[in-house]
Amino acid sequence: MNPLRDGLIKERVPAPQVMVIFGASGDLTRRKLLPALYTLARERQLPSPFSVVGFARRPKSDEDFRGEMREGCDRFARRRPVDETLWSSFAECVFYQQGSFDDAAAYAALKTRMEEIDAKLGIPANRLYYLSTPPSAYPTIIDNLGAAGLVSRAYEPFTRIIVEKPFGRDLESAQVLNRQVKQVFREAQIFRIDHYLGKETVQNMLVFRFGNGIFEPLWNNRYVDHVQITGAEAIGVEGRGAYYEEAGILRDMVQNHLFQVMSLVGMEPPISMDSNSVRDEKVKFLRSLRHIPDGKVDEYVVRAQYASGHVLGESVPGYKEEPGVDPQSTTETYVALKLLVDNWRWANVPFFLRSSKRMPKRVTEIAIHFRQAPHQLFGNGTGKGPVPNVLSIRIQPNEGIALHFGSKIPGPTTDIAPVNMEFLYGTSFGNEPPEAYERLILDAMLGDSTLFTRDDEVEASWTFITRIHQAWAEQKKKQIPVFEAGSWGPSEADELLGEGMHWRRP
Amino acid sequence: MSAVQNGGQSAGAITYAGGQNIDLANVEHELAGLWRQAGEAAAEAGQRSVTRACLWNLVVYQPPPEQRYGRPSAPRLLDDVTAAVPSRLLRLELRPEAEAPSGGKAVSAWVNTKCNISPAGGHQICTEEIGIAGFGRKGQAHFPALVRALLVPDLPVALVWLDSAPHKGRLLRDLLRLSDRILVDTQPSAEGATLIEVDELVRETHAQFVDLGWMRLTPVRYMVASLFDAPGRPEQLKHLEGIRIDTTPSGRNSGFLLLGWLLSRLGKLELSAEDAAGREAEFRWKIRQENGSFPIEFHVREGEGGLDGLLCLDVAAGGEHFVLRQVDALHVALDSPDHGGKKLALHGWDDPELVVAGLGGPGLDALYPEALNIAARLIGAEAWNR
Repeated sequence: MNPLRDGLIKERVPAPQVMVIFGASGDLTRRKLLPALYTLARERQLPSPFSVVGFARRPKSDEDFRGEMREGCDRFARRRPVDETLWSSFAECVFYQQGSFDDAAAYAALKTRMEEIDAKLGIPANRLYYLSTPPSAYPTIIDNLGAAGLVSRAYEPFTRIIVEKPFGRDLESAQVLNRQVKQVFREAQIFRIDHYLGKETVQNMLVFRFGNGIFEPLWNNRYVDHVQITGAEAIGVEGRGAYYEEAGILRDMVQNHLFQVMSLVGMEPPISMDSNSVRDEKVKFLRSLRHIPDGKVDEYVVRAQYASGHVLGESVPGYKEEPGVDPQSTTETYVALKLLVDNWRWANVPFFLRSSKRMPKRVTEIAIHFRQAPHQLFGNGTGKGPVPNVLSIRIQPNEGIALHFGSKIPGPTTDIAPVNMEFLYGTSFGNEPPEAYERLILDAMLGDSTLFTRDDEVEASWTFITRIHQAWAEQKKKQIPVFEAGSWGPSEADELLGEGMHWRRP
Repeated sequence: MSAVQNGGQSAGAITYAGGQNIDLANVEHELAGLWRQAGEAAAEAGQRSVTRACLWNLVVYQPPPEQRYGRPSAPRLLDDVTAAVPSRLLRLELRPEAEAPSGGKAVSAWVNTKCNISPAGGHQICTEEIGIAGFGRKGQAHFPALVRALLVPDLPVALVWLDSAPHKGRLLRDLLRLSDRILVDTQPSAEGATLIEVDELVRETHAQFVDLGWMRLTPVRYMVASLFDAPGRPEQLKHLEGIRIDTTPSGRNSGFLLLGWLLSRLGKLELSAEDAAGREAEFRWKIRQENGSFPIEFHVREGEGGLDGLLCLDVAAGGEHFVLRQVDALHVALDSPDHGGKKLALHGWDDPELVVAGLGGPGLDALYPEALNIAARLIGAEAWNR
């Protein structure tokens, strides 16, 4: 043990490494990945030395690639304008390698290129691969990486891989993909990314619940009436009609993002904050979701499609009128679910989830609805009585937390009006939280998988979701409900909630 | 009241200046007026709401010019800091008694708010500054009570004492009693006595000390530690043959702190001073380690001091040398049997970044008091045993 290391604060600076982005010509690289890397460089969080290699089919020079990435950083980096001095030293470490994902020679060339970079920059063969490609390319790339000797299962130098969503399209395909990846990588080397977990408010959920003494005692079926989680988007399928026909919102949003958020809301306290302890609790929660009884899917799940309407001042077409969409399509663009949890904490507390395209605005929030006071003293029969207490946690936009409660209206009566006590990240901390990709890429570089999805988590969520897809397939419905774009969804979804309850207007 | 575009460092910042010489009982009222003004100006400009943000009470002491370090003063530095850490700034400015306004008042006050446009666009994040000028000793005596009255409740208090060495006077002690944290900077002080005084303060008060001089050493400490990472190297630290450290005059205190840290990590040691007390440019000590004695030499000489004034550290151990030396303002080299002159880039932090980092995190670095105490004893040529 080096005594000079004793007491030095453990640096969250990753070891020198080469990152390879597969599918580097795609939008994600230009809009998110390179801007995140540049911002990390600007905040001195990138390793030194470090290099990033873009790998894709299109022929392109290093200079061309750097130019495109510079344009991406100019438009999308969180810290703008781009610092010229920093960019020139950062760009020197950005390279491009042309190749097809199924061409073994391209991987040999990649290997040579990385060895040259290692030698030039003094990088000890640490590798981070990022699969930013269509999921169909994952097995090919993973196999070729293994065959070309580009993966070491050793701890040092390390090899890690980040896999973008979707991880499978049902339970079976997720299991197959898990097996394929694990033939080449150990589980600890695999980072299944869900960018929702990189959002500050989602991470704050753990701090909020387990770092404060006053909330956790209320976080159970004694005080919570129900939970609503909304993931709404104002955009439509944005030219990706053909993809969406295969996916649907249940796969695209609920299986990954909303289930991840829900598991953080519902999980038990972990024994520590290490990655496996946290993920153990999330898996336990997912496994305690009550499966929907056979033949009763419509009592628990409502699916719908948006029809034409008006969103944020624009007239928009209905889903079936979008390019690439089958006019007879029954693919859901809206889904609402009622979930019950079979454990002590959440027995009889329904979790209502909904997600949709073409809602009035983009918003993701969690709302914990508390039970009413046991005895009503105020406003009987006047309509100005107690209002339900709701704790709403806003994930995007305007990240923050608000507590909704009743307050006496000033004056001679005891009429009650709803008021909000609000915390906003922007207000309290004065600056915008970092981009999710910055945090997640940094964590993968460091080998910290707490905010990434483990194989059993993926399979637990697919187990639940696949049963819904199977039930829908058995129904063979010719059409599903529609709702006007720009509204909060179909009336059928209100019936999920039960007597006296309603969806929040977030 | 007037709104002025700030000509300072952060583009997009607007300062709303309140009245000068305001009634001290009306400070909060004046500030409320400024908030209204900022809100109205934002509405007129079609911007979203003005947001008042506050994470800290920052009590900034500004001594008279003749006592200040020769560098930009703390209030200017804090313009950049508050853009990242919204705070209420209580600026205490000590001025000569002769400058007191007519009417015999020993203190006067002014207020302003500074708004930064959020980089994401839209709303302005604003912080507020309350300036208090105290004239002579009488004026200074008012500072603690005014600070007590003007703190934002339930938020931590950081005393920012960056413009001069923190001498142990009544004002400092009174303000420390109100503070959770104190930010000092021992590096610019040319006096070794500064470290001795800070060492006493650290041991006497409950406030967490954040020394920017110590924070600047962080990358250096990591690099020095890396010289002894290879297998077998830690063992060599038990057989030290000598330590030599060279600094520029402005890096003297950094050198002492680095030496204090190094010795604090080496286990049981006994020091006897040799030819140290009262010297300016050369110091020698002898250290007894379990396996024998070794000398320490400390040289102060001219040089380009990009590494916080540190020019070279040479640790001789187990028959080999482990050296960190400055190459130029932006690079250092590690010379050791394992590193062979490896050149590394220096990623220094500027002062506003250091202050922001000092306000974040836990505050006191547990290694600092130990390193400081040994540095103070070295300077005082005080024999010790640990």
